[in-house]
Amino acid sequence: MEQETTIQTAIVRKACLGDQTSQAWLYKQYSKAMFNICTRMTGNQSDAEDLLQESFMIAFRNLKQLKEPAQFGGWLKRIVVNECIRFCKKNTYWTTWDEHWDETLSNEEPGWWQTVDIKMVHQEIKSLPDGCRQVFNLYVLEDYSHKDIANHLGISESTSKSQYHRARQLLKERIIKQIQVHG
Amino acid sequence: MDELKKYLQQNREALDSDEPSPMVWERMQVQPPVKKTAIVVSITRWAVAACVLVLAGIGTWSLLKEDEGKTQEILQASRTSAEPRQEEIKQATEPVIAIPEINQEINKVLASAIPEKKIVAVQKTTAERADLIALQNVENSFKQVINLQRNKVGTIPMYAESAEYFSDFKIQIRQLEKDEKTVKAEIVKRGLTDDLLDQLINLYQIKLSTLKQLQTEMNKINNRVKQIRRPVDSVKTYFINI
Repeated sequence: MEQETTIQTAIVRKACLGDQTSQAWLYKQYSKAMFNICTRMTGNQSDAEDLLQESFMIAFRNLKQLKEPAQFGGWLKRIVVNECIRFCKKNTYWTTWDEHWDETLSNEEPGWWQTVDIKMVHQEIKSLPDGCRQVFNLYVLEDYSHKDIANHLGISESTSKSQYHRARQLLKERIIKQIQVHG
Repeated sequence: MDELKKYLQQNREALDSDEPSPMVWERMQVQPPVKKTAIVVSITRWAVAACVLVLAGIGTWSLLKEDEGKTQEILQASRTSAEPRQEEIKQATEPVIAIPEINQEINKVLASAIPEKKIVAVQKTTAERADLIALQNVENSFKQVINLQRNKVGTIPMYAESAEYFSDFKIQIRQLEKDEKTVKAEIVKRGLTDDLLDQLINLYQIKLSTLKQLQTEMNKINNRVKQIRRPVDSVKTYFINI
């Protein structure tokens, strides 16, 4: 583990000086995880690739600002999430969702997701509608609080909560439908 | 913690199944990581810089011309005042024919040395004054445009985002103001060199473009609020003091 950190530190330092091989190594190491954040946030491959490219460009350009090379992964992830948020703010129009989500969730069968293939869950997360998909990803996978989501996306905290519950409800409905159709 | 959240976080690696196309890295290699500068912004910067330089040039030229005229006047005045003195001295020394070399010496000194001294002194102060006036011209022209932009930004009502959201812009402006003071102090020490003038112009340009960017950002946010048709809360509306 320590050796890995040392290797990464050395590579980040070389990449900082513009070494293409080191930059390629960093890209290979992190692109997959970062790309999946982008696809979940944008819902499509093309925008996700554009955001991934832009994020790596920003990272390589500002690599000198990174004080701890060992923390490159976390730093890059913040850049990626911020770029995704910027993209969402530009392209998402928020509408109010009036349904009583608190009631729908209290009726939810506990642990229904555990019997479902995780790939199907991933696929359905990516096809959630704009707005609720971003809130769901930020809350569940990026561990943002509803307050943080509200601040970053320029929406109210209650909108963030209601969009999250809408996402959960849709996710469940769509997965059940998929199981019924394909078995 | 939310059970679904817990479950998905535990299985996060299984979720990361998609892979980007190899084209992404190829595109990155083609495009060097150079900081993007908006074409419009750079054109505006150059246009502003050119205008200021032309104005400063015209100002300096007209002042130098004016000073040149004054110098000529002084020169003429000193010559005319020196001539009667020469004649007075001539008249006074005419009876003393025994020492013609001394007379000639006195005439030479009166005719040439006194006015030349005056010209040197006038020329030196003219150069210094021209420097200061050129600096003042540059400063005034930029300050007018910057203040105009600053007022514009200060009068845009904001319907969303907190003041802290724009703190980066404020920090940048403060830093530029500090740099401006430093450059001015250098000018006082070393005089107005081309290098220092360039630095000062560059600082003003950055300041102006920062204020422009801030205005664009504010307009974007306001437009977004209008697009989603959220009712504008007059209590939460605020102005930026920059």
